[in-house]
Amino acid sequence: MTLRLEVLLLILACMAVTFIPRVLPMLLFGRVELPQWFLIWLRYIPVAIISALFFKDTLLLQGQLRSWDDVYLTAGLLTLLIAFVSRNIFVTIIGGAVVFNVLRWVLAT
Amino acid sequence: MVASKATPPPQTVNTVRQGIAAALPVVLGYIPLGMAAGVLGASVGLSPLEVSLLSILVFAGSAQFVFANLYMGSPLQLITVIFLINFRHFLYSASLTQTIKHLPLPGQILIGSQLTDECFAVASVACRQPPTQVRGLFALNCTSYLAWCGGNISGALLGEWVDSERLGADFLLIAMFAALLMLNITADVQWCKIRRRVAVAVVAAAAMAGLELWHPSPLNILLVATVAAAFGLWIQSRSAKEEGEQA
Repeated sequence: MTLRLEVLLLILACMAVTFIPRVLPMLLFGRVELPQWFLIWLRYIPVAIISALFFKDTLLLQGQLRSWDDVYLTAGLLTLLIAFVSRNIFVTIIGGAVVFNVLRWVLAT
Repeated sequence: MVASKATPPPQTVNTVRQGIAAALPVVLGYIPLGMAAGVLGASVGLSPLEVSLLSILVFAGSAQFVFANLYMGSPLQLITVIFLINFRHFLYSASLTQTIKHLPLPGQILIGSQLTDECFAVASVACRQPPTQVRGLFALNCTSYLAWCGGNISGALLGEWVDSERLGADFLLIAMFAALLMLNITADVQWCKIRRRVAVAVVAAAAMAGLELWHPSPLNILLVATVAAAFGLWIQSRSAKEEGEQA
């Protein structure tokens, strides 16, 4: 169980720079009245983030488009369909995992 | 602040129990991914204690992978890269603040300090209907945090015994985002609101794909969110002008 001083200092520095962006808006935006347009803009942030995160992993791999028979792409789109029909997180995750593993097995053979 | 009063959200996070339940999808993905990060940390020469401290103090998955890759090099480069990668949390925090404004500031800071992509995505869907309580969100964050740290530390201790690639662990979080995307979009009953959210999602997806093809960067997500949300603001104010609808 070793703990090097330089590694500890690096970890603490990383802690500081990840803490600031997470907490600063709460100090800045929590107490003041913000303009209406800014609030509307903020309301669209979650859907934009979730969509970008989902499609980044399903459409692309290391800056390249995935091919149509890529298991992440096909299973991702099918999982989106499961999500649309079920509107349930657990059904979607379990259904998605099943689809993913079945497709991977099919595409590998 | 509430987008819709007619339909209850799929999940609320007002109690500890609800917070833990809302975290379970995140936990499913965090345990195996945390393990993978721990294995990587051990393989580049970080001791189990160092890996543990990293996951406990820095709680940011991407930062941990970057740390393992860059910690032997220039410290300034490492810190800058980690700051830039995690700057997207600024947006998450700004967005989440609007739904938890009524909470005491220490509670807000506590919740903000544990923000991740996944916790934010879950919270943004679950907090649609205030009043959200600190304890519910705190339970959501802590459950996810424990799953990540637990996975991480066991990955560091078990080393190469773990093969999370084979389990398709990363797809679990992709599937969770698929569910959260649909829940976010369909949380409104009004068709025009649903349509606008779909438009923002499509713009975000297209912009993300385009940017990543052109120049892959961890900063792309920040740019894409800014632009796609601005697009949402633009179409909303345009239709408000046309229909005289309350924005």
